[in-house]
Amino acid sequence: MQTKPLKISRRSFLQGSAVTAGALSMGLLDFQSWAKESAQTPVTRIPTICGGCGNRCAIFAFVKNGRIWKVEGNPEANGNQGVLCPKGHGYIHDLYNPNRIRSPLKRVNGSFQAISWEQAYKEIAQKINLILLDNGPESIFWVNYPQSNQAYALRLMHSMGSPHYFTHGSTCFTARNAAWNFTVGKLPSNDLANSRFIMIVGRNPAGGIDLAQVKDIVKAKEKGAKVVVVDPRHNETAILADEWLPVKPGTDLALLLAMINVMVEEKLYDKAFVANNTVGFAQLEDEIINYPPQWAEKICDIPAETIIRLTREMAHEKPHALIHRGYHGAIGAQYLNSFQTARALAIANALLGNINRKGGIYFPESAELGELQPAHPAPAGPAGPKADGTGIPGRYPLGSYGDGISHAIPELALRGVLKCGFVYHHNPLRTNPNPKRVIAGYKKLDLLVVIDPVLSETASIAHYVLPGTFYLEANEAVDTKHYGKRAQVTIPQKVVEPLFDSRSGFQIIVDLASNLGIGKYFNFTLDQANELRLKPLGVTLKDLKARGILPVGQTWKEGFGKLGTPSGKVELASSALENLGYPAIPRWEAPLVSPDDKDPHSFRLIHGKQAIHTHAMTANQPYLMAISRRYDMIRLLINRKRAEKIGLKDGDVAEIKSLVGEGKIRVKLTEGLHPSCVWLPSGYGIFSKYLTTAYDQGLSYNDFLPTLFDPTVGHAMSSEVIVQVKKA
Amino acid sequence: MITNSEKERFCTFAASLLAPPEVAMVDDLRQAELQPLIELYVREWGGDGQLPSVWIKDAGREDFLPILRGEYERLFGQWEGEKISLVESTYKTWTTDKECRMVFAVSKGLFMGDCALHMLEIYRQLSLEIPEQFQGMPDHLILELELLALLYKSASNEQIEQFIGDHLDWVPDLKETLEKSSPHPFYRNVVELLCLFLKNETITGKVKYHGPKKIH
Repeated sequence: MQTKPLKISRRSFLQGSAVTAGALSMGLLDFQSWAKESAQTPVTRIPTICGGCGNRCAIFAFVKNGRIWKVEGNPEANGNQGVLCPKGHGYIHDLYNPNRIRSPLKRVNGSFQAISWEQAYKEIAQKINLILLDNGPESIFWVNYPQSNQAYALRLMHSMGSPHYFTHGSTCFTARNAAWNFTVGKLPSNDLANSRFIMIVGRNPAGGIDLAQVKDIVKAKEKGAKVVVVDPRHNETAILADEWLPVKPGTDLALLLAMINVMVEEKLYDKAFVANNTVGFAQLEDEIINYPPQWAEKICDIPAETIIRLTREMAHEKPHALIHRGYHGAIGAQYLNSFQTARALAIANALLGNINRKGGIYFPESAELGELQPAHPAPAGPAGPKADGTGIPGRYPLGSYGDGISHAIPELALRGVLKCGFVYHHNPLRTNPNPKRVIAGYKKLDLLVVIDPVLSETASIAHYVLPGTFYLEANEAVDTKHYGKRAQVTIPQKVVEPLFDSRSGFQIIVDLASNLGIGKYFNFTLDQANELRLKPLGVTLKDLKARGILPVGQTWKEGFGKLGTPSGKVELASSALENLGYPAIPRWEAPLVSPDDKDPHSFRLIHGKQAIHTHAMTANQPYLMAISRRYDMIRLLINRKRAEKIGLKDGDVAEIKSLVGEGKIRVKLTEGLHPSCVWLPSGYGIFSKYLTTAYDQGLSYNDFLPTLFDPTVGHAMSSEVIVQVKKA
Repeated sequence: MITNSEKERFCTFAASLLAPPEVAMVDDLRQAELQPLIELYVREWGGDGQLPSVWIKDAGREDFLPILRGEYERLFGQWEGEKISLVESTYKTWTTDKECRMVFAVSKGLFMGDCALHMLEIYRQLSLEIPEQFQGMPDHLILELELLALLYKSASNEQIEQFIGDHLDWVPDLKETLEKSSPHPFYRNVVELLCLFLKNETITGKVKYHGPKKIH
């Protein structure tokens, strides 16, 4: 057939020679033959760091034909000791997810348009410079979830003269850190593997998930240690425990004060340690007399005889006994009394004489990375304080200046203090309390730039979205997350080529600086910066790249030295706190709110992690969500007797309502929950329509939380919320 | 008998119709020779000769381009609408290599499956470069049709059949998916036409192409 050829105006996308297509061998064109041959390709192993949560476990990524093939935990890593959790496996699904952002996006008339990196950088820089010209350098912020580039993000903000670098800390751990700082000068760790008595208050390593801690708890148990878990919920760690104390939520402080009372009254404490290494014991004695176990029993619902018995058992094993240093639950950021609870927890440990002792609370060896200066001078830094009030007397004097109060960003935006900002590796629209308020705040910004591989809730409302590489696609900054008996330095490394037109976090920061006219503070390559930062540690970048993780510095030794407190000792009574107008000794402080005992529908809403999800970042992974569905995990836990009183049966749909939010969810009836509360697993309630697997699955506790700031630390008090629960 | 040169042009033309609509594409649709030519092809391939009439006639409308752009975004856009994939990997098992230990090894719906790697190897051997907008999607239908066009230039019929059987066997699945989204007749007919062509190209050869099959 001979016809007039079709006119085709568009040039072919494929470019190149290709005139020799006929020369292709059948073997190559035959998929099955090729597949058979390519299956023989050797697998290469590249050490790197997991990006599935903030723990940054060290892993080996195996690559075949340029694709990820297998992942394993790196056995040398302090933080995960050779194992990898479900999140670490499941999160990798996002690497090949078609819903990843493929190029920079610009919001135009409510929809996203793909643009070039050059256009994105140019427009973002122009807008920022105009905003800073009108509003001053402090009107810009950066907020991120833990990641290895934080030093460069901070440098970027300081280069512009802004103090506003934030982490998610105020919604997670700042009360705990502040309390330990005031008591022993810094945040310690737990020598779980060598402990003979482990009490865990408001921390759930098996759900949270901390792989090394779980392994260490098992090791301790194998050697005969006793494990006691204090939690309103019979959590995943309680499964490993000898005893579970279902404490009334928000009253862990009463339990700890009573245990201190028993130690003091019965003289069970380590007298020599207290005499030599602490200050304020006399004041403690005077105060603690107010908190006998019989008093505590009425508040925390743990029988007085249990408190006495366990305190005696614990003291019997001192100094190889410990109360876990804690994390988010109870002492991190959940209650009005979290700071005092953490203080009491630290003091109880000190009375055991376990500070920096084997089997006790110890100060881990951690690597101090080198500086970029003088080779690359640092910017002058901000002139003023943070607008969130951290570290300022009269505002949030105990707040962490370094972390800031990130859930204050929406409030500062609504007040016009913050005008533009970057959100990197973080999703505050889903992970901050009171999303309506958070959305209003972030939408008020004149410019919001989100760096993310996917369109999270926060990315969905951004003016610009910059596609950050998936963690396996990029080389990033060296990191010191793996502290322990010997410090370790790690490096996140590129394992596969970026699938799309995405860039590493480090590269984006450097590119932004260049476009903002502050490139002189970033006149180094990643390798140069990494080498400078490794220099004082006595290891080479080459060696680190080869092994992924290297031990540095000396090995931890038992012993008590001068602490970083004003007295250099453990401050049972803190004059620093007293000077700021706070009690020198922890006192009982009730939670901010409590359920109405007379109302059968009134409950405190508490939350926690399941071992398969990290905040909101893993919910969209099909395999992890499949586990959630298979085991029917997306449910509100409620005490069986309380549920039956309000006519709820297992599997019923309940309506849950607070002052700021409401929703419906199926319930799970359980004996494993304190009757005063209901419990929601975190990680669900995704409302970004672009996250199709997780969209509209379950609820998030943040939907019900009002925007709160603890009056001293500024943390979110994320369990200070009362909800009404009814059958829907 | 349609010549290989005509088939090459047809594949290139079909690929252009599956790209985001542009003015030039609509101009191409308005060329007078198109309708009789396509009708001829369709008859030759044993299909319904009326197949192309609607969209070719519609191409003359002034608002055809904005309508098409809206429909393309609705059907194939990444962020809104039906999000129908034009990428082979998403229709097939990610890998057939039994040694792979990733949890998603035998999943569907992901990019850079085995078929994408195979396409990359073919491009490499032919010194072909993938444009930036197809990064991560070397097995996009547009590229596969363009490669098929190249094969019609110089490859043997056996090679062509092999390629269609291996890499374009998922087009009926695309057709099925598209049908569920009540597509504009233009896109429905383009994909139908493509299916008809591909089926015809393999029906007599050793590679069978009879619609959706679960391979790879």
